[in-house]
Amino acid sequence: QDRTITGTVTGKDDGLPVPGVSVKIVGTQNGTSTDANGKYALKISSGAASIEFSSIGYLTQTIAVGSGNVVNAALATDAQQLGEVVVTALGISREKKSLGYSATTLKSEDLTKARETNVLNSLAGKAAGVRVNAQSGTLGGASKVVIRGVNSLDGGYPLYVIDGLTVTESNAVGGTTATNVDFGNRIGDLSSDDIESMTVLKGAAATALYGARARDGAIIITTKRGKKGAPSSIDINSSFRFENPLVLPELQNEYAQGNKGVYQLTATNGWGPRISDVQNQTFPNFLGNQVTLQAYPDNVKDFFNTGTAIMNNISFAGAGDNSDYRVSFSSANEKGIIPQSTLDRYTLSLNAGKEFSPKLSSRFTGSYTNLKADGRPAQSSNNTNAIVSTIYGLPRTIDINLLKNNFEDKEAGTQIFLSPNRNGNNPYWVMEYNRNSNSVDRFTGTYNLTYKPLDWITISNNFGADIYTEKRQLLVRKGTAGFLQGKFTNFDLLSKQINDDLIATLEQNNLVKDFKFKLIVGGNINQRLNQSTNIEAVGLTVDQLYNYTNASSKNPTSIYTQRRLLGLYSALSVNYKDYLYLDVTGRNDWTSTLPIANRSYFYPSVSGAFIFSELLKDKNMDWLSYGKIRASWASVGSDLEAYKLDYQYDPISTVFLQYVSSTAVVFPAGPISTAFTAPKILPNPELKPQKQNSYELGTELKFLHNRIGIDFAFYNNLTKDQLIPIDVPIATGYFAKYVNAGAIRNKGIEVALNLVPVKTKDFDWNIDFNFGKNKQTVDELAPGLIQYSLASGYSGLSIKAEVGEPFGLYGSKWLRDDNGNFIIDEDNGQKIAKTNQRLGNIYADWTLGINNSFNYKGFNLSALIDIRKGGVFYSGTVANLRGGGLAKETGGDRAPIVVPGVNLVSPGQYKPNTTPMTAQDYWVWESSTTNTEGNVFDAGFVKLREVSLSYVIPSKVFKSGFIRGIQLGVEGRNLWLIKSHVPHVDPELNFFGAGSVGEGVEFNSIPTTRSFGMNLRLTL
Amino acid sequence: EKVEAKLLFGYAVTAWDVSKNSGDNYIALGFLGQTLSSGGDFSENWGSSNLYNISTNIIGNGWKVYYSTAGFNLKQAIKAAESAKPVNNNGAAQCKIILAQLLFEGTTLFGDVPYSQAFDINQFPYPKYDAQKDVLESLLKLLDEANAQIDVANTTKIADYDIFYGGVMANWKKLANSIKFKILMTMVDKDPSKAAAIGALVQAPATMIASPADNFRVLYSGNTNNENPKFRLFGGQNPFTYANKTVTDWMVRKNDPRLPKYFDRPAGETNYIGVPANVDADEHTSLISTYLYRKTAPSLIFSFQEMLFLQAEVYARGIGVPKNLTTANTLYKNALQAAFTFYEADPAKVSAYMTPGGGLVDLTTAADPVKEIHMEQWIDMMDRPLEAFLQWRRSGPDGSEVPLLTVPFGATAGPLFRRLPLSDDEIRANPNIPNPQPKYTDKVWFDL
Repeated sequence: QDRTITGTVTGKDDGLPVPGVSVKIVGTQNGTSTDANGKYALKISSGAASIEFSSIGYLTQTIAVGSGNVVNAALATDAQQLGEVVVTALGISREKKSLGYSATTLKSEDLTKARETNVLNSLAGKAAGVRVNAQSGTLGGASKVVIRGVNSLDGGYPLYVIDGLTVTESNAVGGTTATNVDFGNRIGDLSSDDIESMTVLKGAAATALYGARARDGAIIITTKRGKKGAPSSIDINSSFRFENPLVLPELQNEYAQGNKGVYQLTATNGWGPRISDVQNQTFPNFLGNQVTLQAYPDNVKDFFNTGTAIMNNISFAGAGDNSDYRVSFSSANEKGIIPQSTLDRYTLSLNAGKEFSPKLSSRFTGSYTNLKADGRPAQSSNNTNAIVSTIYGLPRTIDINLLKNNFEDKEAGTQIFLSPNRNGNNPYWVMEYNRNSNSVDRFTGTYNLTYKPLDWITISNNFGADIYTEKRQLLVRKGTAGFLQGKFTNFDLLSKQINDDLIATLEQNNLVKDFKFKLIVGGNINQRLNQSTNIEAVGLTVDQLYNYTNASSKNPTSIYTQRRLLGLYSALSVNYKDYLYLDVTGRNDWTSTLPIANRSYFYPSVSGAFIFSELLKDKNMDWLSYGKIRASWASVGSDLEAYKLDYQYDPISTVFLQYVSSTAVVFPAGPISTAFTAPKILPNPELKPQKQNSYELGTELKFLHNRIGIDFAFYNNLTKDQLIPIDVPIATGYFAKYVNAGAIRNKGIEVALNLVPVKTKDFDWNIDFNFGKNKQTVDELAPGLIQYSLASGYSGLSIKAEVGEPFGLYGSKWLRDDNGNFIIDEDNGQKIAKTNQRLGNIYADWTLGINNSFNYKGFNLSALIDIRKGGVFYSGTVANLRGGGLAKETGGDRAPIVVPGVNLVSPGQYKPNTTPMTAQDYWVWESSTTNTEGNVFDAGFVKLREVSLSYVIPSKVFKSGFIRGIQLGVEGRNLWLIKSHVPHVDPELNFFGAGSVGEGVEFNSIPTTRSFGMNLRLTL
Repeated sequence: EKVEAKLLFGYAVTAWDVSKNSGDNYIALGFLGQTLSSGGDFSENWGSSNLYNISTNIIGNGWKVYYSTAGFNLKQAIKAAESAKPVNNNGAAQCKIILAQLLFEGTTLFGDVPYSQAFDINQFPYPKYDAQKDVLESLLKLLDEANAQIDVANTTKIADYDIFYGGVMANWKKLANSIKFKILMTMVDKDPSKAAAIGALVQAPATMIASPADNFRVLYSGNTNNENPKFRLFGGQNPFTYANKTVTDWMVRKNDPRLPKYFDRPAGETNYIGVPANVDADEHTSLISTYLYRKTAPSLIFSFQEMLFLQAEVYARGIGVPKNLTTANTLYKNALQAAFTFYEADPAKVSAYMTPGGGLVDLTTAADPVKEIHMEQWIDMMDRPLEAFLQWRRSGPDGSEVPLLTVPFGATAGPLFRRLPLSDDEIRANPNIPNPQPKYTDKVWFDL
């Protein structure tokens, strides 16, 4: 007989009713669906055994009908049916579950919640295995991105791809070059408002289709477009932000400038008399006035301005039946913490798609960016214009306002120096006149044409170009100490990258039962051209007239390189029953930069994914919501910089003049009008491609109805046959020669853990942990070579590769006895230093990002903490502050110091040290540039990286319909250095710059900033 | 890829001369060899330091000049000249002579150095170090080879880029012989068999530098980019490099007419006061003159006066010729006269010096005529620290050098500085470096 069964269907996760669930008697066509309250009523016959509940987004559930009349169901969400889509290499969209490698995707909300002008910084802490460091606090400064460790002796950076176009990334290289100005990195030109998603492809299998250029990972950026089916809309996003230095030095306020307690106006330090002891005397100040000494505790802090940034974006988007468009205009107008430092950036972008017919469609995306920045400060040592050393090095008795109002003798037009010896540039003079500026005009655009002759064949061509010009100017006004005659340097840079991919995609889902096949065949042409002209003009006749005719000598240098790469590739994907996946790819490249015999190279990859939870579906394992294992293997090769093969004599216009310049004496010199030199690095016509072999194993697991999610990866990358110039004995005539040598291994694990401790209808709490541990090892260098210098600082400090170790910091190290006591020179009480010793790893042992996110109705609060453990850091700023007697720890009573340690009596025999040193001698020795270890610290830190609070005003508020949505937010970045082992400076600074493999070293870098802002987003 | 020899020659000689006259071989060797004084903490620039803690940069930069920026380009220029059409034999000889002088300087500083396997990376990726004696012998051969290669009448040569002699090949022949003479003089105390060759050369003085016009030097015009490197180093002023007491004591005692040319006294000072190495100067201490650091100061590499002093030494000691103090005395007097003229000393002061009762010493009656010659040679080389350092080591066995020097104030106790240790680049990259590595206190082969 028939009876009526009733019941309620709820969601297992939240217990809330689920409407629209299909309720069906198994074995029949009879059924119904749940109402708005999740309730149903269904008439069944006596023979019916069970009822099936199914709904999109939930796992189908079958429940046996007992004798009762009520059957309730609690449906579990189907994680895999959420069908997260990831944009992979060559812009191919894939379901995340089918990938045999790890990929992290950041959506636009992740990037714009706490907006950064350099969008790369928003990646920090958000993807396991991806490290992002701002290099300095320079406005519009560069950020360094390292994915899964550094693979190469010459560094490297990820490949950036915007809408299928590989774009040019260029980094300001800092280091010991003459112009240590952070000009930013070109990928920072992107406007975060235009980004729909950013996918980080980490392993070689993920990037194998890009080949060599993605050796260090790839970041695939997809821009926003008008959405089909959505009404035309206008989006306005405005932010206002303040900035101030995150870390400023702590200074003593007790001692004036001088030497051994005696006041000296010529000294810019803190080794003079105790200020309170000489209140009965007067001393000359830098203006020549006799004054009673007084400390100005805030003179460093007051130099810095509160930086401001105004960022606006307006976009118009819409879509018809067969076309869509989005036009967006972004602006960023910033003033930095360094007075005079400004940056303005404007971006206009367009994304328009058109379906001409069901078979033919096209899309254009393009953007134009204009950037102008002025007052970019110089950093590092040995630079006339280095601003931080001047400001931090101010004697405590200098009133910053007095300095600000007296930096120029207006009548004479000359500088008022900090000391009568004219050896200390007035920082206000430097900022006012010695400007470093740059301007960029950049266009990137791609045009895609897609043709589908049959429903299983797609042919698509993506043609794109990325072209920019950048002008840089560095001025030094006449009368600047270190360059009294004045000079200026102009750089003109041109970069053009043209890329075309022609891809045919063949899809067959019905060829073999339960199997789906997808075959991609494509070809790529990539051409890159770089041209730079740099003219240094020295010796100005007329003050402040920066043109060439006004300079007594001009030294032009120009560089031109062009390289071309042709590639053919293919990828086959096999899908068995949507739970077993296999991908095989192969690519062959022909490069213009390698010898003809070696210029063709092939690289394969294999990856697979197995969603084992599919097989356990019926095993009543409720606690496991989703389970996948994945594995991949790839081998990729890479080419080399252009023009490294041929022996060529180069024209040269400079020679080295110690203490004057590394580039002095400009030819023509007297009768010698043109000079040529043999190459310093011997080219090698037999070079072959560098090879990277890597494998990766991983699993993705979700438990307890997705309340716990884990993504775990283990990887091992070995990069062999590195193309490097290795030092040769200079007696051969060369400094170095190019060889294929060395192997670097990066082995590590990544864990992304997602917890949802609380989830109710109105409130949820998400915690994300992103943990990455990478161990880099130099497996081998060239035969017989144990160490290889990667980057050099000053006075023996360098970053080196050593066999058996990760890249490390080298310099002089204190001698210790067998028990670890310092060995002290009995004559003077000083620790004894030994040069060229390893001082530690420059990389972290592990990093961890913890993000807590709370959603309550329209409110979202999230906070990201970034943790780095281990590694070492050298601070030249700390050395200067201590050696100059300005750091707080050099103050106090300045009693003589007996350094704990031992004196050598006879070999192996020691006695406790009793020789005292004056406080000044102690700190000067401890901070001397020849004693690296004195200023080496643990680089670990804990940072509150990002906090944001946003509120979406409920749409029902806007009855009239003109305004469709408002989102308000407050945001903060880099808010708090919770824990650090480095005094006075941020341990993330890096003076080598983003383009160098060197890091973990800082010399007078511009302090990083903390920012705090507000955001208003309006949809009309 | 081909390039004209003169273009490489031009770069090599410029890089070499700049290195000689800049921070590396001028300042560092001046302080170490004690012809110049840093002024210790009184100097706003140098400050007090352990002078024997020799900067690896200075060692490395010099090495790079000898073997790469200058040396290797000369080597390549020789190749280019000899394979040019028509063959540029004169040009090759010019490069060889410069290369000989360059590597002679190198071996005097570094002792045993690569020579037979240098500059040939394909065959000798790790060049071995030859004994200094062998290097010097090879350089003598190289100079003979160059001399034989010169055809004075042939107009194919490096002419416009020849900043030394403007392509006058007769002068190059004289130069080759002069450098040979100097090398022989450096060797002869260790290897007395060189005396005969020395004797032959001094008896034909016209085949060597024989007048101020023959001076081997770089003239600087003073135009932009063509100022003496020392001018660029000091910016036309010298607020911080001081007179050395050993130099001033000697010159003041003799009332040397070069004093006002060598030194600037602080305002109000009537005396020329020097200070020992690394000792703090004070407001009375004389500074090295801005005259020596002027734009147009020539860079002297081998001078007529140096030649005369060397010849005087040969006669005073009787090396390969019979000892003859009268001849020695004449040569010595002419040498001083040439030195005074070169440094544009006040003629009135010069004649006062030269007249009996002035500073001039008569070698025929002097207690130790050889010492007098050595000392004046050294004083003449005050502004040429590399040559002065060689001269000092050559002037007598350990403990009897002229002048007698002591370890600088604040320097590591022990023996005096006698050579440069090896460059870091070379230690790192060349497994064939001498073992044990030489220390700065080790004597090079010729140094007794």
